[in-house]
Amino acid sequence: MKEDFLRNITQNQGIIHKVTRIYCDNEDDRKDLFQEILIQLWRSYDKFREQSKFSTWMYRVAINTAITNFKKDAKSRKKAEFGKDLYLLADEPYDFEKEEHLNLLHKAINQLTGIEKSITLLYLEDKSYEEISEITGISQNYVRVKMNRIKKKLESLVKSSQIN
Amino acid sequence: MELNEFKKAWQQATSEKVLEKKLDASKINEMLHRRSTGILSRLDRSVRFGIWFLVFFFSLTIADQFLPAEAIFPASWKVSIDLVPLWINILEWIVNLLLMFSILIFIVRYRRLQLQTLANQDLRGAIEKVLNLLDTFKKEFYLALIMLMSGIGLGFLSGAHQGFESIKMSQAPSTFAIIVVAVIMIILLGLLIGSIFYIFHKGFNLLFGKYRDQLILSLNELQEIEE
Repeated sequence: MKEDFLRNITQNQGIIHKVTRIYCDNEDDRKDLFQEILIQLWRSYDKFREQSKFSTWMYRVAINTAITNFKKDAKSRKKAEFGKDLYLLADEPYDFEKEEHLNLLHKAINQLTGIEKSITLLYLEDKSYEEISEITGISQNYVRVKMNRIKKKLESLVKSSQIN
Repeated sequence: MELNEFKKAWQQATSEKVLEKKLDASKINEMLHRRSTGILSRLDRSVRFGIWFLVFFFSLTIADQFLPAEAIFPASWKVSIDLVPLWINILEWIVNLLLMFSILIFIVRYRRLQLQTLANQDLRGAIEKVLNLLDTFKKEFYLALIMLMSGIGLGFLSGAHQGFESIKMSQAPSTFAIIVVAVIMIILLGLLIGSIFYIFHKGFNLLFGKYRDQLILSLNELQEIEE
């Protein structure tokens, strides 16, 4: 069983990296959350019934773990490493303004609540509303409404940081 | 909209990062065996430790009641067991039965709440499960406190009774003196219980208070989404 688990996780570890990326803003926290998600996945593995896709199940456990993980105080957190992860599109000519904008958007996503981050992450991963609903347990209609609200919130957060 | 551009950028950046940070199966296996500092693992460890602690403490209490005084105390100690009245013994047994019942409830509750089933939950279920685990831990804290308090209380009662009996044998104390002593002892006992309770309560809030608030906030947010 463990070999199966390790093989599946190795193949799909990108999901954990992505979840830790959206929920933590420094490398140490990401490592801790990565390990915690791995442990929770292993503990839950025998409950995985193959009724859903392995990746869907993985998203579910990873997001549940991230949301129920303790968010440290701003004081105890290290400064976010913005600037190190520039969202520059490699196949496009360098556009400083666009890059700046994307970084502002990343900062804005960092200010979202845990639940908003989970919906945003799944949206960014191109998951359908049906899949988002399956993973989070929030009905499709509510996911749609919430996503629209998140978009508006992000817009206003980006605007306010541009003004500042 | 910018979010769509971000989506493209996010997907590209994260897939590059994933490739960069990709771990092999042996590294993942190694991580699984390392002690986690995450709050879920810590909470789980704490609850399990709490259960073992309660079982150990309870076993000591039972051993104290079952074993003859000579087996526990040195022979040189003259333990006046005969002076402990039957009603205190009955009270001790009632308290012990209640404690045993509470510990059993904890074990059953913990087994039901095990985090293994986190995967089968939706967000609300997962948050509620962790809140329940936290609640179990808090109750465990208070049960330990009650065990300690009942031990102190019963010890105080039997001590007071023995003291009163021995005084009665030598000289009859005045009612006023008995009342003064009883009031002083009750105040001291109250202060002791109050301080221990306060330390326990503060300690719990310091360890898990903010975490609990965070979970309740997430639960309320889910409630708002569905309203």
